[in-house]
Amino acid sequence: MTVARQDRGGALVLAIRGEVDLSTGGRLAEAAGEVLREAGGRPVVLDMLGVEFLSSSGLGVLVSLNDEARSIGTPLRVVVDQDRPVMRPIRTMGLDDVLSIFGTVDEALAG
Amino acid sequence: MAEPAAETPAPGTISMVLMADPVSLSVVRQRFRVWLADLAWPDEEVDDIVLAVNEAVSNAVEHADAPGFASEVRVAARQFSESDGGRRIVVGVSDNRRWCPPGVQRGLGMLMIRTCMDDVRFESDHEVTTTLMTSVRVAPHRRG
Repeated sequence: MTVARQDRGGALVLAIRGEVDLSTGGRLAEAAGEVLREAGGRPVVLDMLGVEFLSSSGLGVLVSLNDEARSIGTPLRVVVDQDRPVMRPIRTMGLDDVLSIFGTVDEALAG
Repeated sequence: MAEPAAETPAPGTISMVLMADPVSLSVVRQRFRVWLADLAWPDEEVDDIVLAVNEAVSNAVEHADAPGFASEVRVAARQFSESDGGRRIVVGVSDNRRWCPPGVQRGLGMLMIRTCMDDVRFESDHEVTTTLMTSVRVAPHRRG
């Protein structure tokens, strides 16, 4: 898994690629948590279009980040390809109603 | 056609012994993807089996006494055909630790396994806990 950070249009975009599981979820939590705390109210976009696998531990990380973002008043937007295997676990766990999900980074930036 | 040699795994089976460490997860996922592709398993059902196996192995890794080389996780699976030709996969994931699965299964991982598989049960025997999972049924394999 790799995480790349980019400041774009007044938002912080974190592009995640690869597989998010028990071995990599901790790094995602750390990197995204840091960005959330630095955002100072600017929207944070998690671009997960390059994610090929997402386990329950990865979903747990997304839920924690979502909770933290709410508590500090920072919008957290998650970009997921609707047809990819990543959407399956999100829907299975009913997180499509919990997370702010977008189909493209541009849509997420527009809010 | 010649019978496979004794040490050759029977067609439609797979087994592996993994280190009880999170790094083993990508290995088991990859091996199941290749194996299920060989069995011409439908893509969406492959994703579900891989998700469920990943969660069961994650549980075993998290329950390991001493993560890494000192503990092992054993994974074995086979395809079986029903009388009308419909097919399923049965997967067993064992770790060398006796842990009692809670009566009411909680947690996202267990929910994921139950959603992705048709049946899940646990067997605890001496120092081994096995998660036994049966996949949903898929259509017979049409050859040619």
